[in-house]
Amino acid sequence: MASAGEAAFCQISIENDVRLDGRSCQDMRPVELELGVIAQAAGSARLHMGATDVIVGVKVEVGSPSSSAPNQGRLQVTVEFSPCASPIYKGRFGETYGEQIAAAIEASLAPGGRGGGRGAGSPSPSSGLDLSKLCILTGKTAWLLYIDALVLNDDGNVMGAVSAATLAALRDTRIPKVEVVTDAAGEEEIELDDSPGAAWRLDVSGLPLVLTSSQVRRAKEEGRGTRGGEREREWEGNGH
Amino acid sequence: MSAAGAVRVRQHQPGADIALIERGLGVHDAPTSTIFVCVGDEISTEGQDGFLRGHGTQVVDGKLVATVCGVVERVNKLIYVKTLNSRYNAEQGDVVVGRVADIAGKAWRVDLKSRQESKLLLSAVHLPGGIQRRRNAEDELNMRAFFREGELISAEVQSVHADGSVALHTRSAKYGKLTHGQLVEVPPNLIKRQKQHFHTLEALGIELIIGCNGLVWVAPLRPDRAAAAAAAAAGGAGDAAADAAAAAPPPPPTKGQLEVVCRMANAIRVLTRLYMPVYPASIMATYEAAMDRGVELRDMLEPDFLEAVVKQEAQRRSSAMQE
Repeated sequence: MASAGEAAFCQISIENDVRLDGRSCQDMRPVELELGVIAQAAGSARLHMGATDVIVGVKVEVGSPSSSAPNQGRLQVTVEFSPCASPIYKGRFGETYGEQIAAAIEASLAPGGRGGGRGAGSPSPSSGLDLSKLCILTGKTAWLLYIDALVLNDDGNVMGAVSAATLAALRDTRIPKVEVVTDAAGEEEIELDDSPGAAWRLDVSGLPLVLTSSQVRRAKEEGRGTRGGEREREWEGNGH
Repeated sequence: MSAAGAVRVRQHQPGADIALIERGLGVHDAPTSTIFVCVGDEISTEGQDGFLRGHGTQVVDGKLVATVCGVVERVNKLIYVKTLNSRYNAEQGDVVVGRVADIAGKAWRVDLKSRQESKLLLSAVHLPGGIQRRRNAEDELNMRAFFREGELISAEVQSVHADGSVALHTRSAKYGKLTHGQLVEVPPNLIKRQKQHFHTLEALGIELIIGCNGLVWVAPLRPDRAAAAAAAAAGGAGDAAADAAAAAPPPPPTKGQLEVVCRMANAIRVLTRLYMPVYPASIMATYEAAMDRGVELRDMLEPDFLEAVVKQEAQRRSSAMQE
């Protein structure tokens, strides 16, 4: 809660490109990243952006591909808000917001880069994860990626933090090598190579990063600055 | 140091904060203090015939055990544990900065980030015009014209009752609504009670209010408010003219003023990060250190500058001890 005077001061600060903590309107807060924080997961990352704290774990499982895309693996993103992230996340508010963020991240990672729609421009076919690399046996077996994000503390830009942490976790993910063996009966079987050295990583360069940008506009009636709509935009980059 | 629009990414290192302070002080692997206890640690009571058990302790199996994390303090026979982060405990005469939470009956409920909300009675508010009169029903209905919900005010603690409830008053022109500025929240333990809590730094054009409850207000100096405060200090004559001037909207601050306000606020945030006491001298020292080193506003909270501040403080303390 902020008073009208504080909001006006904040508005004037933003108009002068000097935000309350000295950043310019284009600056993001410094990001602190830790990889491999979850020993049991195939890949994981914990990201701090200011006081926003997000942890993402990636699990890989062998399963069957979807019938519409038999030569591709699948990915599923879930975003959960810990109730201690903020007092507003009690009840079901965290669930709906989590679903929205998960949908946006899934869309940004899916091949073709459908993106958030507004202002995403024409998606290039090379954007998005190459899910065909996750295929083992066409139509029968493929790698399924389960990406689980947990928001531990919400201090703003949760969408950006989860997106960045997801990219970091995917970069950290090790997927075991698979060998297809034809056994005596002519059936194809898969053998997993468990040795740690024989794992491969996904190529996450060129994956988009979803950010939140806020527009601060002045409400005409009261003359006080308000936060306008938050727009999610996808930014292509050489993620590393 | 960094281009605008660039994102800084660094690796998270656990214990980086402690390492930063150790580097700044020039000690390595400093031994943990023997008087610092965690929950469940035993507090030694040897050499004492009897003791009085204070806050944060409990007797378990005949041993005195700490129930909170903090520093053990001993005063005569009283042994208690003082925590590093605790809620603000109001005392009479404290200058505080609070946010109006609610209006109920003839009083405002003000949130001081303490254990309870405090009350600001309608009869304890400085009326415009400076005259003393009975508050009537019209005043009660117009309470929102004074302070609305969500507004920041500065006030003084009038009294603290036995049950812990706090009554505030704004019976002077220097107290009242705070607009057009920035609020920085600081742990109340870092704020010492001093003679003056209102600081006008005219050379910088800044108004600084260090609330004892940990809320620090930084705002550009408004010439009309400064005059009003001076007039109030001079004895209340001419209050009517001062109040009329204060009611007029202030000129919008310039970019230079905003940067100074921001730098002061960041200096306070630096002191909070390093858990150093917050008072005008320390804030100014940090501010000047940032100006001398030419640190950009957004880089003030980076580890490099934090380390420099630690070194400067270590030097100051060692030279003060030598004197």
